[in-house]
Amino acid sequence: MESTDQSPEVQLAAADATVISRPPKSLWRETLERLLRKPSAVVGLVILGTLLFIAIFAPVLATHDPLQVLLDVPEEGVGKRDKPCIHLFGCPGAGDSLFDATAASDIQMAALSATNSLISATSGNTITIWNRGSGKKLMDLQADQPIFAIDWSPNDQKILGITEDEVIVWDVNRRQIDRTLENPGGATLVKWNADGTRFLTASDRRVDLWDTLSWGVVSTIELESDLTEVAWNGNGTLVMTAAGRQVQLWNVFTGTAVTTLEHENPVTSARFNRGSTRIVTTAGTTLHVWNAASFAEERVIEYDQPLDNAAWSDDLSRGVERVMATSGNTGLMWSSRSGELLHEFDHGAPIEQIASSPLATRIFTKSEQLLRVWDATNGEHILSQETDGVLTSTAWQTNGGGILVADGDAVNILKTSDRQYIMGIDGNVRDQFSRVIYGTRLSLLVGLTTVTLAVIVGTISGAIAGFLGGWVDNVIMRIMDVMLAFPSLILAIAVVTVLGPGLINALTAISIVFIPAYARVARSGVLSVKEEDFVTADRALGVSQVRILFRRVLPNAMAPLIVQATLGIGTAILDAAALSFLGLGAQPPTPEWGAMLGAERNQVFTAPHLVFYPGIAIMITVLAFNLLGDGLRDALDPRLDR
Amino acid sequence: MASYLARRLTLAIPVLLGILFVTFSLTRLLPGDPCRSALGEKATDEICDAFNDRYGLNDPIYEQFRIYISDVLHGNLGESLKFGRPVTELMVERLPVTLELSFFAMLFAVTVGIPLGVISAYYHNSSIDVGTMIWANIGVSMPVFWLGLMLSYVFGVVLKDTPFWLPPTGRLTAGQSIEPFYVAWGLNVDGDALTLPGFIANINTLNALLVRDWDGFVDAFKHMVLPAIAVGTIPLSIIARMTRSSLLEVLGLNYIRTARAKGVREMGVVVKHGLRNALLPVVTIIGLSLGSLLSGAVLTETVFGLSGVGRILYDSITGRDYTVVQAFTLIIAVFFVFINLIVDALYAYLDPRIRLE
Repeated sequence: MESTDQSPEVQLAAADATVISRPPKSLWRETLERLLRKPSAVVGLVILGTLLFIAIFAPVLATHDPLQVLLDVPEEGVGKRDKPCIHLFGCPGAGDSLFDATAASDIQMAALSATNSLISATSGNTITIWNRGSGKKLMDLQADQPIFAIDWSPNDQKILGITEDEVIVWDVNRRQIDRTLENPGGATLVKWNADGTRFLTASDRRVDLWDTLSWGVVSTIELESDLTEVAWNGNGTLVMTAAGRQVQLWNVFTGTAVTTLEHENPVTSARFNRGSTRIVTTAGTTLHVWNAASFAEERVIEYDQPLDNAAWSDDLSRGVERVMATSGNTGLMWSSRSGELLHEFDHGAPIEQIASSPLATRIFTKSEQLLRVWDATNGEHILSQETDGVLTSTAWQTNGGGILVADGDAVNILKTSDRQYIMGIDGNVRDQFSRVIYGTRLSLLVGLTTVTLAVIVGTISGAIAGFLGGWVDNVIMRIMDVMLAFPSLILAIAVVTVLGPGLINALTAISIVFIPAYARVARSGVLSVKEEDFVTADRALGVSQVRILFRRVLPNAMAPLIVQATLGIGTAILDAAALSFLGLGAQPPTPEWGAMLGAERNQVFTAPHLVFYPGIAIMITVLAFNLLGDGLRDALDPRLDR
Repeated sequence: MASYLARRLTLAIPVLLGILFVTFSLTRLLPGDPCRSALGEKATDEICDAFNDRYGLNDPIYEQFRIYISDVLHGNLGESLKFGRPVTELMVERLPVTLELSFFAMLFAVTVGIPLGVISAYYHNSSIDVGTMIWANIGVSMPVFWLGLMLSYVFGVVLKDTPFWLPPTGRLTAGQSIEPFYVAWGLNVDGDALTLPGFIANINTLNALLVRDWDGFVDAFKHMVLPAIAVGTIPLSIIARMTRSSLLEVLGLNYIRTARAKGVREMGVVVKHGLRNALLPVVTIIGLSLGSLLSGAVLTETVFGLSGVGRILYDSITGRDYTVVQAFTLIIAVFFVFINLIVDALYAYLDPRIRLE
């Protein structure tokens, strides 16, 4: 807009005022120059520029789709509300240790608790327990005799331990022995079922099934040859045993065999898949896949060497179904659908264990002193770790983020991925950083649209009120007074209550609430300008009212409006965030900062990063607009400049 | 002065009517049939007719409005759909919490904000000034609810087991209770007469002072600190900024130079001659901040687990308890109008020129 008091009409009306000395600069350039002299305004402009850049290039900057649940991607090693990495000197990458502890003596067996929050290590008569997150040692549980095997209950509350002729139940909360059960037959293995109502103990040719109500043996399975494998199915109704040439399924309530899967050679290993719908077994040089419901043999895979250590690498939700086995130094992976050999992993030493991460994206192979991690999809080698002592236990963490490794007296968790989440993971396992980045778009959009709407409506109504005066002025301004009588957020809440929650409705509500402020400013500006000489001149020349209002009066009353609008954007963003925080604005899963804060606010004590980052983002954005607004005010009105 | 007040009061009447109209329309504008939203989709036409008759929904709209106004004037704000209790009863319970919170927040904002502004103006353009103003700018840019959450995390979790620990939620420590003052004083009140004493007794700190329960007072006060800081930060920043700019203007005036020339001590110059005259716009700003204070209270109460007006407003919005939303919106707006009136009166008292306009 050009400076209007130079218009030819004015010069015509005041013919003697021929020399109007004005600097050649336009008003806008002058204002801009004055603005750029204020450091705070420059800071504001720089931040806004950055935010705009982030908003525009959000797809490039964000590491993930903001709505993508990482477990579906799949990305291993992420968990609900995982904390961001805030280590001073870089974050752990693949091969780094996430947890490090040392037991008093050599560890026979290390285990993660069922929820992965605790780690236990058994050595001699002692079980030592650490907290995985903090790395702190929590307790030592003692027995009178050496402990052969332990198992965590599914809820982390209890630990079962086997000694020479007893089964010991520890209560982890009370840190002491809960009860001791006589087990004269002895056992080498103990396993809880999935819901913690039963457990089994196994020795060479005998499996005892225990009940946790009576804490006694409810049934016993006697086998004719030595046991190679025993396992529960997923819901704890069946027990699978592998012994000699037979794999048998037993009903746990009656202790009778449900079915027998016959093999031509002695069975070396047998495994349920994750859903307990199939069983994979190895016997001699063949690998068998059985259906666990119809007991039919679905696939037989021949190999030229003896096979062992059958395992699954499956994620049925993505349609991934692979079976694995080992043969000497080689790990093998087949598709269980087609039977096609997918990968051969050359470990370099006799493999004792092969295991897939929970989402079936990685596997590890383990020999006596060497652990290797492989990519399950393309068969590439990811990392290897060699140890001085013998590896006693290795297991995947249930979120796939690391492998528990025990050798000698040390327990470690080895990170297997280089992925970093610099703002952590939210409650729905989404990448917080990407969501905050995309939130910029929404917040800028919200601020600009609400204020634009409010400015248009407010300015027009305020200008009309001021320009026409009389009863029009009275009516319009009394309506505005009523609206101003409500605290802005309360009125916005009331409006959203009527309109119903949602981002668009919240925008409308905030715009409505903001109208009176602009109407007032516009009115007072118009009132002061409309008595100016150049307006009188226009009137005298017979210029139409509308033209006078929009071409003469309003442009000259714009300055305070611009300031008010800039400052208003900040407030609008805050109010929109507040509405979303209350659940009245943007609805999940929209990546809106206020909504993100609102969704995780009850987790502030445990996952403060989920509240911290969106809040900081809001603050920076609002601050930028406020700084710019303050600078504009000073620049447009030099009298305030000090 | 009296005529000025009378003029302001008359001006407030149309505004109050307008507020009544807005809150009235609030429930009338709700989408859907009020009968079926209250009684369920399967309500028959006969039942709905009876329902509409009972609640006067068959009357013409202006008649409904008249009845609404007369109800409000008689103190009948309707009955909560969710709690099944009169809204006034809920107010006696909830309003004191918000008032207490607002009071402490304002206390914090004023007692910290004005000195900050004075220091900032006095050491104009020094690093203290710049630092204070940067913080003030950050203060107005923070979302209240976020500040509340972060405060409760820092003071409740990070500083646990240090002397700086402060309770992050609630109004009193579990197990702690303060005897209502009317019981302690042996006043025999119940029923309707309990309204006012009950209201006062619900302001924990005040009640503790009345019964001289010092432990209770400290406990109640400690629980108020974090919410008050959270709510008070925005007004604090605004007040500090306003005090600074207004005092800067005043300090440049001639009579300040005269005072200095007379040999008045610097402290006296700034506080007596300067601040006194600079306070006028600060008073206005304090009045205007009450709006942000109330909005802040609404947002913070849900964060700090305080069962005040904000909390019930939030609960009733999510629970679609419209009578409660309507009543509390009305009360807040009316309260706000009266606060503005008081500020205007104060302003007129401080600056006699205004009365004559």
